[in-house]
Amino acid sequence: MNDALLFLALRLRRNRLRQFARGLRRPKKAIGLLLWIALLGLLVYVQVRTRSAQARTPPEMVFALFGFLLLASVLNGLVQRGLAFLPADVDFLFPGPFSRRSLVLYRVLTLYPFSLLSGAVLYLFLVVSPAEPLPGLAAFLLAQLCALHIQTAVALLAVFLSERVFRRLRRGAQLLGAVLGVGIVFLLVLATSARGGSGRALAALADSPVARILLFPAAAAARVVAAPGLSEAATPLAALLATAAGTLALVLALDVRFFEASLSTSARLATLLSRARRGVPPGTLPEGGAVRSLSAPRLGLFRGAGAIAWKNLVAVRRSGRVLFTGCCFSLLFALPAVLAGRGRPGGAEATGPFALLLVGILPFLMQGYLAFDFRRDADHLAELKSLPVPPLAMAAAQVAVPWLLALSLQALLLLALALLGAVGPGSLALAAAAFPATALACLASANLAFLLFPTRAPAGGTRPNPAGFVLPFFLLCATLLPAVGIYALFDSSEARPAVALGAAILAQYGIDLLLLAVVGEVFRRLDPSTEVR
Amino acid sequence: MIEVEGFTKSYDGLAAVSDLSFAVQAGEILGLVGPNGAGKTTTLRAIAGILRPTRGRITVAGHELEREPVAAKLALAYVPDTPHPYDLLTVGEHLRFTALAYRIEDSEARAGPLLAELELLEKRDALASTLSRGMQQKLAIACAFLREPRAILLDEPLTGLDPRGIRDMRESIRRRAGAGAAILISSHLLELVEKLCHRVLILHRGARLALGTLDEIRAAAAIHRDATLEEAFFAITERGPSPPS
Repeated sequence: MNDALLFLALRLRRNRLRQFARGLRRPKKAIGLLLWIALLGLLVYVQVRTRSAQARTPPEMVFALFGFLLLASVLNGLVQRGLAFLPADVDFLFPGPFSRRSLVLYRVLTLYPFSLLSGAVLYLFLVVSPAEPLPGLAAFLLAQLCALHIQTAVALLAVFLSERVFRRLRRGAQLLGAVLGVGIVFLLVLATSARGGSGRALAALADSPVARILLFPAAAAARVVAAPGLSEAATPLAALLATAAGTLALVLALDVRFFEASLSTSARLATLLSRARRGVPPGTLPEGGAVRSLSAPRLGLFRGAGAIAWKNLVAVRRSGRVLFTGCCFSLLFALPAVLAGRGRPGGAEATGPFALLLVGILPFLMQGYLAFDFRRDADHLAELKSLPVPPLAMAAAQVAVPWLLALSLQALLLLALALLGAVGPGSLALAAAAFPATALACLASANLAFLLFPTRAPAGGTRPNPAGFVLPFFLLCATLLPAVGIYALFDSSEARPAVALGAAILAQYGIDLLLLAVVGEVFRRLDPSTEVR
Repeated sequence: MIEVEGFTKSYDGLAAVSDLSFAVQAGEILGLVGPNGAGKTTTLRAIAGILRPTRGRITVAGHELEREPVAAKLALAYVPDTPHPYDLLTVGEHLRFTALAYRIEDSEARAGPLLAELELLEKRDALASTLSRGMQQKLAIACAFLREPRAILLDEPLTGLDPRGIRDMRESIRRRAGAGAAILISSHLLELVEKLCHRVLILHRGARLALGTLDEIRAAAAIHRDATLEEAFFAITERGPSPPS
């Protein structure tokens, strides 16, 4: 690689590590890291403890995973069109004296660490009792690199598409990607089920000549993992290595003028990254074109702090796509569990509490889709602070809209479950009393986590949000714990279950109010000029 | 030094710039002015090799951009309107990267005086993310000037600078032109363009409305001989393009 580009890549990585290490001097960051380590440790512990009881990883699961990753990389390349660069890359590298090939190589090589790390993590959590661990790990890493090379090649070739064809293809690719993702999840679930019929079908697919050619890296990785010994693993592993080298050579051989396509792709990526770092999913990007301006309702409710809620309601109104995705997600999430439970002994009665639990935790799992609150206002915190609104009212107004959305989704699901006969009137009454409290706890925790680690998009920022998914999780656990304790206390004193539940729910509402006050106070103390990164 | 011939740039069939031709000689400062959306940044980005012309030919220091992009870019420096430095590189590391990219042998000797000139010496070890908007602009300019380019493209170079910074930058640009660099400046600050530039190119809706010295621009605007560039600019842009002769 070009000396200057090599210097840039190494120096950026070194400085990132240094900055990360320096940041650990701040208690907030150190706590964030400790939470991450605790969660990872827990996951590894569970994985190691349950390993001996698990069967060896079926090769068809490896095939399904990498088959999906390869197809996803093709779709992702199509959706990208041109390579995504940082805004600083656009300023310094595009007008610089670099050949297009050296820029492509720079971009691919800077993505290697993430690809290799994700390959290693997948291997750690997916592969159980392999006969040859090292070749298996190498196969996972090489298959990941193949996927990256293929994605890059497709993104470069997609530059030749006209804008109109590209837009149509992008919509199709996104839809196909979603269908593919859901399909693969179902296949994996069925493949690992006791019936195993689809597992056999997957195995047959992995062995078919068409799959071996079209999804060669996936089939080869599956063969390496299934190999009983080193000698059997050597041939598919060597073939994978050759494929990785070959696909890289193909990427470098493509002499495509990608700068112009990359400008829009890079700008889109920068927006996506800034939103992802705040916990806002990609689907919430505003759709282009003119929209009709909405007038505020003449209700007193929407004056003062209510204006914030109205602003968020307008954002909800213009985010039809993300809400549709959220609804699909919630249906896909809950209904299969209920349907699967119907065949079990005890039927709907046995699945009722389980289904209720699934609907109850939905606001936490879907919080990205519900982020019509502080997380969406990361770039406007200074303006919000200048409004004549008390902090508690501000916190309540910000959380109100996602809370109502979460409750609406939960109500829809409960209705569907009731129609399917999966939940009875008692469960519905319990849900009606408890879900508003748990949903509020979940959303207030997510906002508190965001305000403790507020992030926005700096010019070339790709730094992950240290709070991420972990801090809201731990905060939520902490806010639910007292109510659980109260329930346990009443239960142990042989009070009626309804009384124990009622006391716990009432306690949760009280804790939610306190939590909102804390969110307001953290917002009041926040200095957007220094604390928002 | 910079030659643009019949440059046209279209997006989805709509022309952002159409059939634009001009040249900037060595030692000359050409001001590029026009209302928002006139095509100024598109023109600069095309000369910098970021955008590909739909039609036309661009040559920098004798190298045609389409055929010899690397050789053309070696002679060129481009400072965009909004600086995006690498937030994880220090000021010194930005200069070192530039020196490596442009194969500058005596970069250390050049860097000190340049940083002093741009009041960045004390910030040499500061990460770019910690710099103010004006300092980031100065950093982008330092990276551009370090390589002593033969052609310099500046897109709104004074945005974010303090009054002293603006005065120093004006002098710095004059010195580079005096040393033989061809400089193309895009700016909305008409007073600055009037004082600094040898000639002015007025763009409107992607078309060239006028090109020449201030006197020639006044003549094209058909207004009095003491008129400012601002008066001439409004007279020309509000009149619209002249019918082809």
